[in-house]
Amino acid sequence: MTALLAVLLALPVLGALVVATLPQGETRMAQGIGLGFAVLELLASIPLVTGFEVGVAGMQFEHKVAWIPAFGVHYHVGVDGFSLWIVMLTTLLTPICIWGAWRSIEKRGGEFVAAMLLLETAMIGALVSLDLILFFTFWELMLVPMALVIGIWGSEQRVAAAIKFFLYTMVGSAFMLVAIIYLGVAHHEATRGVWSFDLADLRQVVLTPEAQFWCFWAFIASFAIKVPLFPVHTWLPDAHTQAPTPGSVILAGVLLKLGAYGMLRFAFPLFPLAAGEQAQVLAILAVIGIVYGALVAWVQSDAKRLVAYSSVSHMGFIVLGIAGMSTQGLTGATFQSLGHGLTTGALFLAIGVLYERRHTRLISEFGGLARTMPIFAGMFMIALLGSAGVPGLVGFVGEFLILIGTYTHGGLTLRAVPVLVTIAATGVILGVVYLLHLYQKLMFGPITQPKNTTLSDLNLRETLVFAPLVILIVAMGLYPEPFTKRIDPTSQAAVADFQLRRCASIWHANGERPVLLSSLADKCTDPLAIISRTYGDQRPAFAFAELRALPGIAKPTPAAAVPAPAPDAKADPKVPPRPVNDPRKNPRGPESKRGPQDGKAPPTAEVKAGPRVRADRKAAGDAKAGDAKAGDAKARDDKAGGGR
Amino acid sequence: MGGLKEKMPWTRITFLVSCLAISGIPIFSGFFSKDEILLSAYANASEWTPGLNYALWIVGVITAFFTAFYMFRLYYLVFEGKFRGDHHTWTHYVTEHWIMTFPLIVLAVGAAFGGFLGIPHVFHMGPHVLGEWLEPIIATSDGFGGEFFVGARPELLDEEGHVLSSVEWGLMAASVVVALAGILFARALYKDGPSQAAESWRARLSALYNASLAKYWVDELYDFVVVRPLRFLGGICYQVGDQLIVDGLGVSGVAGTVGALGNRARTWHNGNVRRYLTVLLFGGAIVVGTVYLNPQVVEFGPSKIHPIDLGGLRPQLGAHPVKITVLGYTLPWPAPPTAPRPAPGQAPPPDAPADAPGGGR
Repeated sequence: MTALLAVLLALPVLGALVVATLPQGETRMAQGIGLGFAVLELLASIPLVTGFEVGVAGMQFEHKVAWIPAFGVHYHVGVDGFSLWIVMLTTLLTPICIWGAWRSIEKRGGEFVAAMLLLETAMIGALVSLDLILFFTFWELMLVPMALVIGIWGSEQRVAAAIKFFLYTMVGSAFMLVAIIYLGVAHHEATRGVWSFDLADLRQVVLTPEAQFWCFWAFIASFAIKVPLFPVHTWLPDAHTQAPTPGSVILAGVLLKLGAYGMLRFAFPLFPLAAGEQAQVLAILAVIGIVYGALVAWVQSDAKRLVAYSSVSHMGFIVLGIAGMSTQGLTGATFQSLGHGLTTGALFLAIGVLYERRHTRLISEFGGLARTMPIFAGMFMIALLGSAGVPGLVGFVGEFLILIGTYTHGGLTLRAVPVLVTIAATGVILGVVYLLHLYQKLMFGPITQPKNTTLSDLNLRETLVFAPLVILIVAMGLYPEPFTKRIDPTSQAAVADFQLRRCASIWHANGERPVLLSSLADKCTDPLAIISRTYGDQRPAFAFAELRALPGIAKPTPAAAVPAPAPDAKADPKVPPRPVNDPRKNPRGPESKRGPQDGKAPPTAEVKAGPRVRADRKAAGDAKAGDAKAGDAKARDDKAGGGR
Repeated sequence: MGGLKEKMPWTRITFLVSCLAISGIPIFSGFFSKDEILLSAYANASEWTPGLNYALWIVGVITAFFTAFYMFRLYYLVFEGKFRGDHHTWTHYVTEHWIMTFPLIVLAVGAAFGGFLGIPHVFHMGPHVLGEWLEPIIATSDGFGGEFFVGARPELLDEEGHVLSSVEWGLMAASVVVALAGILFARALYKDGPSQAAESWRARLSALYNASLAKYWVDELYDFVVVRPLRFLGGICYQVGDQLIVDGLGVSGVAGTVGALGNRARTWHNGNVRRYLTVLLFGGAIVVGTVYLNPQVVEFGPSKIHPIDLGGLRPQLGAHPVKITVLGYTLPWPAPPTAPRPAPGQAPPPDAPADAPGGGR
């Protein structure tokens, strides 16, 4: 069973090699072999679900082999609740795409199939990697086949769109690579000489706040572009419009999800302190993206562009769910990833069907198609309503979980969270507006173009291509439990672990070098108390109520290391270290009202060892003498000299 | 349409029953519900809105009149009078089929006799089946719980807490009279298709007629207040936000800047070796100057910043200015602005006193 993931990674590459060595022009044979491998891959991935142990939060099907021992790089793969279903989505969508492109892509069909299979391996690899170098390899590998698919088999502006896609995502990845290398170095420092890029090892390292800030944004730069988040989304409409139908399906179905998955798997767990603070920024951008994407989608004249902008809107929900860092929100974000993959995949297939018949995507060219293509209209309707989030279909479950999770139990400290979630909810309404607008213009009304009177309905192949998507859209909407129950334990553990290591990072707020989590673990028996004291309970009490009930977060014990209020902390509020004193990093501003928390000593004053604390004490002593400035200067001096 | 009673007798009968029911003619179901609603509207008053109950009742009665009027206008125009379509349509009317008439009959029976589930108290014919049906729901909303007539004006109640029979009978009579008036008015105007009288009424009330024909312009209001501004905003977002700012200035701006710089830099690479060497010289001087001539550099050698730091020759930054002697001449570097600090390796500053803030657990 441990080699299952290796098989899943190898099968498509093998298929791609076989297909690529076929003689030129053997398109049908290439497509047949490619489809065979893709279906084989789908069948091979089924044990992933049947063998997945429900209720286990951690990694399953783990496989770890040394790859580059000198730098501690491993081939380390595994699957948990976050990645399981997206892997399944990938193995489902790839055969659908290859079969769906049976007629539409006949020019260099063999190469196309090979590219799709290679893309499948890259996507699965990025989803199951538990080593950052391995992840980055697959992450970059995804770009190449996708750019080729857009650039070779796309529409008129395909090359420009492919270059834009490639450069855009490459810029983000470059930042991420720097951060990955820093993480390895930090691990080397914290462990005094052990190299590792393994995620599990890196999670044991507590970085300094500054390092967390920069690394978090470096990772987010890569992931936000992939998602895409609001201000960096403009590659998506171009790529989607120019890509061939299967390219769009894979792009919307899986590639975008990898951005969200990366936030979930890497950015938030690795940099908990920065993530907890910067999540406010992400949440605001996500909500802007939800409304902005919906409004822009509404005014599109190109049907494919409309669906592309709807992705911007829907992915905003996923990022909002992740930024909220609540159990429901994470489950909802993962579920919404699945739902969006199915619904948007089906929508792109539907527009591909129209494009195959009429060679145009302009909405104004169609109208009244429900009369000539009734089966198509039905399939399109289900996919569209699923995307709009109609209860009973897949889109509703994810959006609902995200909104309720972020509203009630979210970890966002922003005061405006209820407002934010309310605005996000209006995005659901706008989603209905632009999607029904699209449907009405395409399907209903009089047939204005004579060409549309003779359009043929879906043939058997196209119907069978749509069928699994449409069935899943309905089934997952009516009975999401088999899916959510495999995600939920992982979400719970992720939230608990996030809070624990966020607390450790707060204790390490004045540290200058990365340290191991184990050195701070005994101070984190009640992480929420420390977090809420540091940031203030700005949210209603119930926001923290559920978190406390999580299994990973221990109840506070009387002997817990909750520091007593220092008698003279009020005398010089600058002395006790705060995790954040840079206005850029704190949306609420460094001197925001903390209420009663002001009088309490922040936890770092408790750290016994380390030169910085001595500096603090010294500084506090100086402050007592009434010369706070000198104390501060001294503290700075000590900071400069410390850390030997 | 018109005169369809010949073609569709069952449809006509069931339609007529339903019209009578919705108009509130006694024994049909609509009568009982309408009577119940008008009665409670009349009898229940709150002390904050004195007289509102009568106003509401009057509005209800006027509406009852119009309901009867427009339903029977529809009935007369469709089923009575003469057919107004062309001959072809008349001869090709599809005959009724039981698959449609049967549901119609079921519904018509319900419309006719369903009202006996809720006989008013005045008839004293057994319990009021529907009276308590919704009470569990109503009771949960604060202020509406308890007895049905909890807010009724005491002068309208008898000793048992029920509304006086005289009041109930009076209201019942009023609503029946009004409904009959509506029916008769419709009959007078539309018995034989649209009449001259109907036309003259329309001319007399043209403002009201046009307003109701345009559904009081509610759709236009929504279009003006909600739809158009949002679509306009969407257009602004797309054309200004996306195409101009993000994609134009942002993405294409960055790409254009890089491209322009590349074009400028390309001209330097003209194959002139002398130029290359000059640039090399300047570049090397800058690197060497910033690293080796930096006054803050104390020494070179394996890093002492951290024992397990990456090895190699890394400049060690220090507070002391370094003396650099070139051909026997010491370069006059200015002293760095920071105060001197203990040399590396010296013991850290002594601990703060035991009673330092935050100290000790």
